[in-house]
Amino acid sequence: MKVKDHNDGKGKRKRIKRIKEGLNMDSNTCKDVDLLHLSSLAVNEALRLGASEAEAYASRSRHITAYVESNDLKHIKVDEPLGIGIRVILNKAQGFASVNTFDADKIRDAINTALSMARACPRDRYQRLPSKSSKIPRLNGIYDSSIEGIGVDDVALYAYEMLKTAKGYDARVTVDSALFSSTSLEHAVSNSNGIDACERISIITWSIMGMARDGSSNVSNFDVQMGSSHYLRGVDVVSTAREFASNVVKSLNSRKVESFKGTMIITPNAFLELVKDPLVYAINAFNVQRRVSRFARMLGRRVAADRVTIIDDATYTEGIGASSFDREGVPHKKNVIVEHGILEGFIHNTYTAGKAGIESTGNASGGIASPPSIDTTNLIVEAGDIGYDEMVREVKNGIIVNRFSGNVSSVDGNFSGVVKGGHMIKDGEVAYAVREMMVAGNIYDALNDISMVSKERRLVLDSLLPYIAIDNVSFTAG
Amino acid sequence: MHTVDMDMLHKVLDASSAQYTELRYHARTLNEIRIVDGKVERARSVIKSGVGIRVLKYGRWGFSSTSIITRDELIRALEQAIKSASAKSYGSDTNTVRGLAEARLARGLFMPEINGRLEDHSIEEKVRIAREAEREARKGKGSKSKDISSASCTYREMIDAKVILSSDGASAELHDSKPEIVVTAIAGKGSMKVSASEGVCVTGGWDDLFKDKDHLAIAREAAEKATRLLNAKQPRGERTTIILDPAMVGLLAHEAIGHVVEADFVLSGSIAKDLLGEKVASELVTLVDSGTSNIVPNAAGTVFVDDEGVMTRSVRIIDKGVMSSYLHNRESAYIFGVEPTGNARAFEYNDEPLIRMRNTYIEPGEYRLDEMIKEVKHGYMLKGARNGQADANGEFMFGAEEAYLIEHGEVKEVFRGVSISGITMDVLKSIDAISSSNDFKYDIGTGYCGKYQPMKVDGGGSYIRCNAIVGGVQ
Repeated sequence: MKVKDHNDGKGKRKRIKRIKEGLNMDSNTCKDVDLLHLSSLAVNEALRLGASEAEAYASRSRHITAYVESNDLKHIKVDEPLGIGIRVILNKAQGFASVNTFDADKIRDAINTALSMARACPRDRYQRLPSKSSKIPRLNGIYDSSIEGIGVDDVALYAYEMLKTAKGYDARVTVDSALFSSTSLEHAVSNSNGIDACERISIITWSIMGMARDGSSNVSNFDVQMGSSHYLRGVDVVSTAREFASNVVKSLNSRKVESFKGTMIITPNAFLELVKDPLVYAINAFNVQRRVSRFARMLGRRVAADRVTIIDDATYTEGIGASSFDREGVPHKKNVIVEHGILEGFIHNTYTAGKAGIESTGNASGGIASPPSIDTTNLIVEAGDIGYDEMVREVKNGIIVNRFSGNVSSVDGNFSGVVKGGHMIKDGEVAYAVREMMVAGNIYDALNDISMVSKERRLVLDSLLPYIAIDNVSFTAG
Repeated sequence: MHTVDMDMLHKVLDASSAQYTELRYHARTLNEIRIVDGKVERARSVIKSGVGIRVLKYGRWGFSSTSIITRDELIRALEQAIKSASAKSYGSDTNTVRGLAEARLARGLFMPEINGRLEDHSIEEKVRIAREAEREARKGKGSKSKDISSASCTYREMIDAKVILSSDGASAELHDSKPEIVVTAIAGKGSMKVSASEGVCVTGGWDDLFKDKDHLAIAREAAEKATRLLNAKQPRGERTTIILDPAMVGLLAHEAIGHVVEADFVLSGSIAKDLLGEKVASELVTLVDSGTSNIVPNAAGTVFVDDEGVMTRSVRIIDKGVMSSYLHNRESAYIFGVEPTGNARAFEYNDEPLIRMRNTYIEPGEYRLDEMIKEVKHGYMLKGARNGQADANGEFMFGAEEAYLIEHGEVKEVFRGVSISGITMDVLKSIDAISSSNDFKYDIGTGYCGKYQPMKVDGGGSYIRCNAIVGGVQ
């Protein structure tokens, strides 16, 4: 049996010291407490109360959001959530509890609840916490201190600017809803193996959603566009609003077309709705180990067309999934998942990595209210070698799917749904907007049928994606 | 049960300088056990409590919240809400709130009937039933259970305590509990796998959750469904006749109609605009959204008082084919000159109330299901709800887990799940048969509806027959 890190001499001494410190705070000042100090005290207290291993994840944030509704500013919301999640391991069984306060008594109650959860659960020999690695490299470029100065008037101004741009683009544009939100977040994680990590992140996001209406019966599909940045200087609501407005106006005067089989070009937004969930499900090591992932036992084998390379990269600072360490305090790094169509790796947290006998890939995910699960950080699909316009010219008979509204089964990969904001391509030309068109197929098979990947890419929150063409797709007319 | 200093809340309310102020204390305990292939994937207990404060000043809304329930923090949150409402208005004044409709404001204590308090059942018992159900799905006595390669069971419960106070007189204390259990079975190997789920969510207690079937029966149903689907293919895509089961009817009522009649969406220009008093469906159709659990008890979206402190009403959205009401909060009811319907709902303390559905259903008819099937030359019987979505132009989609082919009045082989799409009014007008109340049930309670915040809603009905596009392969 392997020697556990926290059982070596050094770990023992540290544990004794931690237990002595205990959880002792003045509850009146708990809101402004040093976050890392708090999480480390909570770990000590959990050990004192009987946990064999313990982890505390604390966060505190400030969100200011301006909401636009029915073509006007609707309301402004200020929210300052905080809280702590405690994970304990007792006799190889795990328990978890969280509270949204830093009050010492309530944290102690949560620790006791987590311990009773662990006592009620069966053992699992793979339950463990990550051990302390070398120093966590700090990622620069994800915190803009000027976010602390943002007020309600500022978010209202940005939201209004976005609304005004969309409405000014064309009188037929209707903004159903839009929002502009600034978030300042601080998070810390400590565990009984000596991990202590803390950092601040600033995230600014904005989105706009609505349609175009020309008379009472000529109404476009909904479109949604989003933007994000870690930095105030990266805010560009104007481009997002223009993209939205142009999309909805272009999808007016839509036509019904006959059912056919042809090429589907999916935009980055449609990729998120159609491909991302099954892809992330398939590369999640937990699903791989359960053998419910389509990619189980496929390591080193072909899972996509040669032109497809997929990376998970939390160190890509443009994406809002960037941070220095994961939910368990494991340092983030770049992980190549699929390279030229060959499956190179999966995403792991400490639990699945332990089972596989490897190191965690730093993909433990989640917040204060749940024990770590597994997710991608920033999902990046490498750019292809063909320009978007040329890509369209290559298509004889097909549809550009701007958005997908439907159901995708991550287990078998079957998808079926409605094409939104779709455009018919005839002999290399974008001919007209289509409506009442459904699309169906299998996403895992489709990954092998990707015939073109565009040079151009779009960053949508935590995903950097090109336009992708897939051949032989079934379209059903209404 | 959670306690809060009522006197302190009242004092904070009295300290407000806004024209309208609403204080909502909400303490939620969420307990969840998830078992995957015999192992505990997660066992968690989450307490989330705090006070949300919403104010109306200069005709604008401001909202703030705090999880630290001291007088000083509440006053700070109140001031922050007022500051938000007073932010410089750059827009036009189309959204200026001109008034809030008079409403039946709730006063007193409200709680649903609960059979078997969840607090009286130990964590050990909840872990045990989740483990047993998961094991049953994999190794149950069903004849083809060897086909099940993996299974999971999630038991989840939300226990809520709320106090809602408003400056114009609402003063309600609410207690609620909503347990749910979902079993998912995955059948097959390699690239041939398929998954299927079965579950129940109720407003009520432990005994209410298991009143129709126990956890093992739910597990067997999930396993049998996955086994059935294992060798099923995707159906051919076409516009055709479909018969929807109660879960699919709930999803149809929710997606095709419910969303487009939310008054905020109507004001943004949804297709329901200008349709009040118009014939929008076959006259067989009466479509209701209600805070109470009508026809059968324990619907998951049950709520007696909404988050503006308004007593919820049962709303006939469509009455015998004619659109007769939208879903309102106090602000939209004022604009339309009607009584509020009690549809303002907030998910947690730090969410502001939005217009949301509760239990949405189509009233039963007089047909028998076998008669409805017999009359179909070619079509599909669709069972088990998946996701759905509504669009501004009335184009909606919703997904079924199973599609049974009907040929010449007989139910034939099963096909894998598909999405169905159509234009709301075309589909509602095509409804030509609804089965009797014997078939009625609520069956979409295990899901959540998303609109900035998640929300527990339910929906259902008896079987209905209509016409729509089945999104299959060509």
